[in-house]
Amino acid sequence: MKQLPIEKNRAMDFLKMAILFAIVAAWPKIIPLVGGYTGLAIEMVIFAIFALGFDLLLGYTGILSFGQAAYFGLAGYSMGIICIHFKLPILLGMLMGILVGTLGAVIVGLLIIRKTGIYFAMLTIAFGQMFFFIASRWKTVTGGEDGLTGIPRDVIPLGLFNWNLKNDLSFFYFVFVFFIAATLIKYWLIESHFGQVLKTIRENEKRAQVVGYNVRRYKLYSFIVSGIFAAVAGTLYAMFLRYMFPQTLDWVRSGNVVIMALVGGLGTLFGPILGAGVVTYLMNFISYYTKYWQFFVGAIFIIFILFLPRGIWGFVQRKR
Amino acid sequence: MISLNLSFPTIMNQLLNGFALGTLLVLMAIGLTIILGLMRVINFTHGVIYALGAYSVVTLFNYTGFWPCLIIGPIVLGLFGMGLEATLIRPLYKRDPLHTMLLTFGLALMIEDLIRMIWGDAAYPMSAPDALSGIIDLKLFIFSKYRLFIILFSAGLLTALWFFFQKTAMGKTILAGTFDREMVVALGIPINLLFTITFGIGSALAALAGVLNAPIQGVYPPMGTTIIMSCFVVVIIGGMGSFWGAVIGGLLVGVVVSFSVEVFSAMSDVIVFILMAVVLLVRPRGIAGIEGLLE
Repeated sequence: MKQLPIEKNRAMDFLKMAILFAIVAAWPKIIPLVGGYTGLAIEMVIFAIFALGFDLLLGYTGILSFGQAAYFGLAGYSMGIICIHFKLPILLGMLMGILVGTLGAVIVGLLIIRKTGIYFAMLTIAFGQMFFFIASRWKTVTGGEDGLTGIPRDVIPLGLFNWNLKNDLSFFYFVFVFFIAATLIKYWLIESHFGQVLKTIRENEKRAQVVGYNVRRYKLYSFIVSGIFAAVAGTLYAMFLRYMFPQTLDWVRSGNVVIMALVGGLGTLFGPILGAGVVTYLMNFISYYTKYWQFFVGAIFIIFILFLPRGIWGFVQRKR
Repeated sequence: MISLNLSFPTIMNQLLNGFALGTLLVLMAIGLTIILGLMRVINFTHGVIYALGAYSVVTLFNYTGFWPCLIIGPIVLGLFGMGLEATLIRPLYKRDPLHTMLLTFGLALMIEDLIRMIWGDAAYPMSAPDALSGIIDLKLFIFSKYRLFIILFSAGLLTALWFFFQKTAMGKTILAGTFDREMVVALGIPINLLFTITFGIGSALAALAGVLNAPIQGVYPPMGTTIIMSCFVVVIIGGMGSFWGAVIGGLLVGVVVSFSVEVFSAMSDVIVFILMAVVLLVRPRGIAGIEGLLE
């Protein structure tokens, strides 16, 4: 393949992103053709945001966290609790939820960022599961096993007109706005100096250290940014369901986002988006036919690890 | 909510309950920690193999009674673990250890659903074998015979394991591999065989813990997922790859869980994680963690 000048590559990237945004914008109209519905389209886009952030950590920095659902769920719960108890408008509730979710990632990150590899992964699971147990046990605040009901999704006043999110289709475009922002921010991050340092850490952590980068600090930032993406997705998810339940924080949920990113293609801009869409769709599709959908998701995941570890997007890229 | 009003028999009872749970956690955590140290992967199938161990009692009980399950379950599932390692996991060794770990995660998802397909969603209550049902009067307090059996049996087994790792060539080699795998390979020891055997031992121990715990906690599909979380905490508290770390961590977690149910039951699940965070702050490598291992 001939190496294109960098500027031209960038133009190509923006073109690809424009095509992606166009497809996603039309998605609620397309999805009924493949047996889906608007709610499923919303879920796919929410998990795309989640997977985009997760991939910054695993795909670009080479750190595996198995506890990202904790920040997803923490933000969703916080948003719901704040909106219900303090009667705040949803946008303010979202902001607070994202802040709490991020704070969770900061605290856990500071505590464990010294560890590497599987030690780190195990710690993320354990701390993630701590949040899961808090959500399922702190009944007076979180509703315990029954979950938190009554999370609002109402109207956003925009001066001239009101944006009514109660309708699923208009909520889809609300999520879509965040999706565009998430994709552009991810692109900006991976193209920036920061992203280059992360890739250096992924390829050779010791060398990055020797060259003089504060590896630990970069890894922490990567972990926190990934947590912010998870938190944004979590608040959107809480609004989507108008309900949060402990399983949203579970490590199996964290595992799902790992599956999404890997099936789509780790360390690529479009892979995790594609993976989130495909896996969410498949889970929905399979669970329609059998309650043992987890079996088939596990099997598909194993096939990808054994034969297609670069994921769908990685495979497509290499073919060209 | 919080009750600190504990009588002496309650304290002794909870202490022994904690040891019973703790020794089971130790059995599981040793397998997990040795695989972790030697192969540098988290084996997510550990939990479902524990669950399969418990289900072996469900299936075999009517034919053989409880006792043969203690032998059959671990042997069959130990071989099953070795089979998994030799067929699915071995092709991934040349790759990032991450892939191995994710593969075991996928397998765990599959096996948990497989359990639901075979045995259904409902829980099976199991009772202790007749010879060990009921309680034993220890003069100052009374205690469940079966739990006392678990403590003694596990303690005996752990002693045997300790001898295996300290006195036999194979045990020593496995332990040496957790410290310095490259050196073991350089000495010409067939590392693949060592991996398979380690996986087999770990799986057999997990299955045995499942068999032993079946009469106490009953048998239900997600039981493996529940216990593996406690095992992670045990390994983190005890220290990665350390035999004694797993022993101390397991007993500590068992006792803490047991008392927190009594003292502050609403948050009993959360307390062990707080313990873990505190241990990490004070001793970042865990109680008996080995310097340089997995760092």
